[in-house]
Amino acid sequence: MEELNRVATRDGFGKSLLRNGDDPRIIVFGCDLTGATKTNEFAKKFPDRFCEVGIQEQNAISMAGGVAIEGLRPVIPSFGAFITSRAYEQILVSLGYNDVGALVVGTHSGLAIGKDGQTQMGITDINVMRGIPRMEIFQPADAREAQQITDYLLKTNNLAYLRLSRTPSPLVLPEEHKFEFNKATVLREGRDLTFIASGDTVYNSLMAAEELHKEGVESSVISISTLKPIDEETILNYAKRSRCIVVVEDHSIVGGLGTIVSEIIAKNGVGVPMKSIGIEGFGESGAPEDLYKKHGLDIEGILRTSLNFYKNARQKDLFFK
Amino acid sequence: MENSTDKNVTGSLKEIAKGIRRGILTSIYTAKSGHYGSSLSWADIAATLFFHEMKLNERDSRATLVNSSVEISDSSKRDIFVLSKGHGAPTLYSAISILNPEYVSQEDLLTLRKMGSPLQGHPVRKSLPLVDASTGSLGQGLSLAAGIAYAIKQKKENRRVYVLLGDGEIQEGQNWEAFMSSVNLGLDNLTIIVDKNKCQLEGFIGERMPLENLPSILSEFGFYVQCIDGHDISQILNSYENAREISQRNGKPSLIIADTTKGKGVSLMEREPWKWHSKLLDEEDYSIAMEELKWKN
Repeated sequence: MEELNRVATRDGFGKSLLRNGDDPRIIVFGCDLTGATKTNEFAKKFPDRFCEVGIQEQNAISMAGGVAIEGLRPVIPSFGAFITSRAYEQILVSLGYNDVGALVVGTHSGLAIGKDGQTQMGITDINVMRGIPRMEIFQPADAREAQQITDYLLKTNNLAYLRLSRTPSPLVLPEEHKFEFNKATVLREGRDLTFIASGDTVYNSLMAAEELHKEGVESSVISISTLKPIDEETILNYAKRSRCIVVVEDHSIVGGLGTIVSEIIAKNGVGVPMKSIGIEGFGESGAPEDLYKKHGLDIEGILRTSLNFYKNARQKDLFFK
Repeated sequence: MENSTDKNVTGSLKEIAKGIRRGILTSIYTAKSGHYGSSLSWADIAATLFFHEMKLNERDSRATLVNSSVEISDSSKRDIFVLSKGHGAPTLYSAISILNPEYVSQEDLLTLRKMGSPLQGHPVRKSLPLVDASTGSLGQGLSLAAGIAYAIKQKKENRRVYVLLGDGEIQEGQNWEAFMSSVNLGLDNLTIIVDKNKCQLEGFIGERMPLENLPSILSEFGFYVQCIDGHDISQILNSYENAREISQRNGKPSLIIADTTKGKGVSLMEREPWKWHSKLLDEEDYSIAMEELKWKN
């Protein structure tokens, strides 16, 4: 694959927000992070509908609940680490129990932010958000899809969490790709192994799949951008026809995409071997590429893990047959 | 000002408050679960808010009911009330039942805390007309009210938002975020009332987290603060009026600290208010309490 343009998904969000900014229903909250969350252009162009509350994630979420009660569309961006954990109960009560819609946006997800270190990394955000009834979860594979998902979410009244990254990543989806709610995107077809990935890890999974091909192993790559609800049909389809599944995500291996996929496989009684590659333990400071390497999320790491896992799965299969 | 102190008005509001108290007692006694003390302490505030201060829709008041079918009152055309101290819900339900028995009948009051009843243990938004927010996890109501007030200003509507906080509830840090930002955002359509009944679940606030200088602290935050007797009807009405006028003048929300008694209206509770956060009445004491609150004309 040729070298692609790199853009962070947060930039796609900021672009969409600006483009849809004329909608008088949209109220954007600021928690002293307009630059980091890419809301600065909106704030400049629509100052009347930009509500800066300072470093107050809890108050921002509950105020957003009030704004939504009045029929407007609140958008509350902050670091994923802060907004989903510091303000968890406010999301549950002020948004969830109050039966309103809102767009909660968590940027700076995962190890990918690198040097700022562990307290700044959202590594449990999918886990905590998915327990809230009605909460939908989205994570774009690239900046173009981030823009499309934001376009979609600004027009609905859903209660949603949008997980974004700061790190510039390749525009991995084909230019003609159009985001569809609750629809998985199959980027590559191969009968032996299926990668299921989301966000920044889609590109590395695709690269690992190419390397696997050189080793004689053919793999499918599925990108998941709607994590809740989720396209069970596509996942099951590939779970049934592949010898094994490898989930790749820049999130704790507890409660993220790996957990979601394993639940789908278990409850449907599909006996396919499955492996999760993600963050084990806490994050730390370092160059993003070094952190990815340490947790096996780099191309080389994904290749190594998946190849071994595939060989083991195949051996067991042959043995039992 | 004249209207506020009108004797007929205060007299009828007193009777309404008594009616609200009867409803509180009946519903909690039947449910065998709930917060008598915390509900009774704001009965006078509820009477003055819903029957005098707040602008409601015509259909919300039985005085103007004409063969109306029960519809959820359109909250976008009236003032809004947020009960941040959600455990005081029986007062809200009882007030609504007097306002419009088609919304909550006397029989409905007996379903408090029962499965399937709209009279949930803590308020659930839209379960009943005039229940404008789901609350019960302390500390979030002021932010919700501030968000509503902010949105109303965005829409350039002339509606006011009222929020009732418990004095124990102020221990939750989120209130202080909301104090800061509601002043900074200039929410002059917001009236904050603190039900200062001086007790929290396990005893006196003064013995746990005393905050005697609350008025001066909040003045420093930028609020116009009034300290009143929360059971004196004309003082309450005057404070609402002042709050509105001064907010409009200084462009900031107003704050009323209403000194109240936990269990107000029931002597056996007033004598030992710290015991009555969520303690229950036995049959004998219930009869004595109801006798005290009897309609006397």
